[in-house]
Amino acid sequence: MLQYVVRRLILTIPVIFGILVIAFMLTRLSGDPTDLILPPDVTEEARDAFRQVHGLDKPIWTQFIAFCVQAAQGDFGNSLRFQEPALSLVLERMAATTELALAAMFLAIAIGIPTGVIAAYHRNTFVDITVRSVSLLGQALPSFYLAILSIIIFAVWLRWLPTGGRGGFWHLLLPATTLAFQLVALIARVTRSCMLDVLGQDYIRTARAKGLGETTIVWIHGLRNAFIPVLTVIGLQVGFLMGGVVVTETVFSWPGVGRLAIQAIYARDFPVVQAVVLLFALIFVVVNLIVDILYAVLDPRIGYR
Amino acid sequence: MANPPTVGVADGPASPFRKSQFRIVTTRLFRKKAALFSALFILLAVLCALFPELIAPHDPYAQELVRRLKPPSFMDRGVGSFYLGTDHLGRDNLSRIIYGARITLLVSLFAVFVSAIFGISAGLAAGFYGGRTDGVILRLIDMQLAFPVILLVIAVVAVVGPSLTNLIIIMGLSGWPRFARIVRGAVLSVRGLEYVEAARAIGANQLRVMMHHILPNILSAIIVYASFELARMILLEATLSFLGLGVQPPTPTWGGMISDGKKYISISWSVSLFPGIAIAAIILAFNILGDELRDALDPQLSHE
Amino acid sequence: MRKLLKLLLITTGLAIGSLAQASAGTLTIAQNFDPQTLWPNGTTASDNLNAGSAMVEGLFWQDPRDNVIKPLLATSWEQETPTSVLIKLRDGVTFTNGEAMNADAVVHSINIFMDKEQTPAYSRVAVAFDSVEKVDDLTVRLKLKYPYPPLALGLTQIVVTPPKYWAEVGLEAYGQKPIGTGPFKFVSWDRDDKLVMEKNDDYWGELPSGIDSLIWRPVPDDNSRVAGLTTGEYQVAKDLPVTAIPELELDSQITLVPVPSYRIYQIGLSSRPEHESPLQNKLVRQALNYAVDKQAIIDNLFFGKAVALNGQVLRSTQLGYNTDLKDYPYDPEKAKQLLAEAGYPDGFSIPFKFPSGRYAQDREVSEAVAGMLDKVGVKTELIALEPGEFLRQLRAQELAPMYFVGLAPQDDPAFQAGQYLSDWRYSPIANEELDRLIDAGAKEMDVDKRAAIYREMMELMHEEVPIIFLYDGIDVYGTTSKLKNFQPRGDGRMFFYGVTLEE
Repeated sequence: MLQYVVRRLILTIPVIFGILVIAFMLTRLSGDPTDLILPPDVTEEARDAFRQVHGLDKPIWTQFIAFCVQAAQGDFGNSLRFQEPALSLVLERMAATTELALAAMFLAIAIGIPTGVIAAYHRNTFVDITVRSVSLLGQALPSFYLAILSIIIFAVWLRWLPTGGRGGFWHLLLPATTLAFQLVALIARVTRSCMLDVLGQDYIRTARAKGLGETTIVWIHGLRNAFIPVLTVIGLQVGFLMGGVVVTETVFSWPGVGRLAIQAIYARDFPVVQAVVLLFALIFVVVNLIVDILYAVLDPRIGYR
Repeated sequence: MANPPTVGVADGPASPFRKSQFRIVTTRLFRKKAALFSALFILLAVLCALFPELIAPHDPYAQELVRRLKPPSFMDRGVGSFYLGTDHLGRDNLSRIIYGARITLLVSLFAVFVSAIFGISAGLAAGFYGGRTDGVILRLIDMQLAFPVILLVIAVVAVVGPSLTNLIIIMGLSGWPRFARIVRGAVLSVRGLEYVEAARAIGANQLRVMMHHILPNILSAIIVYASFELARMILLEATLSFLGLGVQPPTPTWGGMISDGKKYISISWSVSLFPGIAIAAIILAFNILGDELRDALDPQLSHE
Repeated sequence: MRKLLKLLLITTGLAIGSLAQASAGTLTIAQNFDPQTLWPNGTTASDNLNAGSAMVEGLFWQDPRDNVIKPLLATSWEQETPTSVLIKLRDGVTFTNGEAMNADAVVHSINIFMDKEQTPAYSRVAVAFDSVEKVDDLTVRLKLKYPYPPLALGLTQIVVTPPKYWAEVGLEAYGQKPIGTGPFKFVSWDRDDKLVMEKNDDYWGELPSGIDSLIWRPVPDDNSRVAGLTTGEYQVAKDLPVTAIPELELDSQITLVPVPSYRIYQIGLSSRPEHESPLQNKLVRQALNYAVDKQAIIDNLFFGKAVALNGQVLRSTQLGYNTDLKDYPYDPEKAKQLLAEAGYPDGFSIPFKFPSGRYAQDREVSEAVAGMLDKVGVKTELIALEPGEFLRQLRAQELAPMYFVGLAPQDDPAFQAGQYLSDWRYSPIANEELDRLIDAGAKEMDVDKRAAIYREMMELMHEEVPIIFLYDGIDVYGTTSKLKNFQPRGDGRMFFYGVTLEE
């Protein structure tokens, strides 16, 4: 087991390195940040000075080597906009993003899995179609639109919830629900699909034949086996969540990494973009490693290869 | 390779099963009303996409600033033949939705197609050959999945320009790993099954084994996922429009219309709501049809 | 139907109770972005400057209520020679850490202002400064490299920082936790969430009445700023979308403050020799000006709030504004006739680039212009650009031949005029006569002669039409109706001098 984890961790090194290379190339291809950060009427000398201070005047391969050496030491350089270490800017905002993402994931699972199980059990009945249609609605509208609609209804008309910002539970409710809505449909569908597979299996018939109660059959025997593929899908959605926070954090003025990232991309603030990409990649890799381990634990047929 | 197998995916979902089976599947499918309605709606959207000029009451590009942001004609201040009202430039919402079906469907279908081709090939290769191939593909999948799509798209679009072809390719590339992972997992789970082993044992060509024995078995999983991806692609195009990277104006797309219309939500809800309903309906239709198709294709369920 | 639904929802809502409102004396301000630094000389972005300037003051400021440059930490300035200026400082002012605001502090501050590595964003002004010296405790002498007409404007941009504290913490940390002489002082800052300031009880001047603390919140989404203003979460909201005007105008709790912006919107029509296109022909450029209905754009896309340009890029309050000039009238027939005369009786097609999401209504305006040009036979191939890519192409001169742009140089005609100088990096025109006038205006110290030069220049631009003249933009601010005498400036700056927040 330990050997498996260590092996997997070693395998993530080329992944992370590859991502850093791509991030570096893409950011450089997308243009010179000097134009975006300094006002347009600045003198040419001041532009050159700015490029020099941030090492943007050097040939691209020199920049790349410097970048790799520094990145290996956990140093992404100073943000071009903030004049502060890029990594600390990102880490500073990580707590807010984690709070939002975890809340959304929890909500999505809490709604999605039972919905999927019920839909599978009552396959093709009115219940099934209704449950699926409703769960799909969240998935059927762009998240920025859904977010704005929810602000108008719950904050402006009803005055139940604040329009944005980070605070206690009430501040979290709208952004987390909006984000979760995008996931509920997927989780419900995959759960339904896997449950249908499982419910057709021989051991479920055996269980029925043995006279076990339906509740036990469905929720214990059924869900336990259907849960494995569902888990994989959930693991993969961590990447989606990281993308989703960009829009959600912007509309709900949530002080997280997603908002920092989109502003950094717009301003071509390379160090911050690279730090965000790396951090998101690490989280993604770690979460999926955990999923794979769980997979192996839950399903003995899959060995530690 | 005496009898080269057709690439199942390229031929669409219908190819892997025989004629008689096809009839059974379709009858079972269309007996269900939800599936029928979904299919009809998709047919309607396809008709709109193919012959918008026959259906649309107005020119979708004709602007008239003085009649902008009119409500639907069935409401108080609505105007004559603008059944769903007009947008911020005075263009007919209904006509734009009808014309919008073309690019919306084109972009999402082709983008899913691109993802599916890449993803299925990679997933099959990884699952079937295992070993080093599997390792490399898994690393590539991880890289792609862990990389924020929006950054990728902004950078690539900035370099190559936002043409329709570029959008389709970039959006398609963002989706391949999901297909690859699902296919790979499915291949792994059937690889050890007796009939696949048997086919290998009798010396069947490897590609043939994959195409004839593995692909049909994982088709239901792919279809479910593809129907889901269609929805994701329509929304991705909307989000890209929101970020100024979508299909170029004045070409209407449903996502682009929502993104344009959301600004006017407090003065004219109809600009964004109707394309929103169109998107919701088509996504619902694709999903229901995908689910039903999955159920109809599932060999285990068919014994019930 | 919506009203009914709204009513129903509100009545249900009341039962549950509304959220806590802001405590009296607190002014919560929603801007687009969180400041990157609170040191006003660190950047020129208005969101940064607004927050920073509440704590760190300059020598002078330009009051938007009458456009007069008024003293702050300096009491007066006089031109000793064309290249030497004597600045008198205010007596008895201290920084909030107890350091004295005197000639040493000002010399220290101007030296930083002149260093292009520390203040690259201000290099355009600082490039004219040669050196600064202390004369006595409350007087400094600033030497210039050459006579510089926009000097007064330049002096409003220098902020004064305490030298000891600066030496102790350095530029970066100063921007995080500044110490100044302003009416407010720093309390706390949760990045991207909220920045809190409280009033400076030892302030040398008159504090804004009724405001005990300021809270600055970054709210990037337009609809969200409107929503938060409506619910009373924010008492001031900057850069409201024009599309929210009709609804907000009906709300008695809210005062809308529309401010004509320094940003002049135009469609560049490049006639530079390297940009081959039908736009090389002056008649074509004039035809396009006749083909665009600017008033319809202002009335419909800006709800009448944007301001017509009258065929020139200077605003009516600026030196050199030419009252004889009028906008090209909307006349599609005349446009067709000119196109035919120029050899394009059937029109032509041309790429048209514009940013999507950089300026208010940028996409809508561009699409509307394209629709109008279409009616005279000019087919445009619309190319929307992500804002960052747009700026890159602007500077790399890749937008030509035709592009939508809003230019907001500083408030002096020299800066506005300089955008059309042939060797300016994104000028759409290369015209020797125009260059001569621009150079002359930038050097002329006599106000009347200077005005005459710019009037002549505007006339020449009107004839040569390097751009389609569109409109002067509008910045819409929303405040609680309890806030009185609040007047932001056309460059996105807001100040709290003389403002009152009623109970």
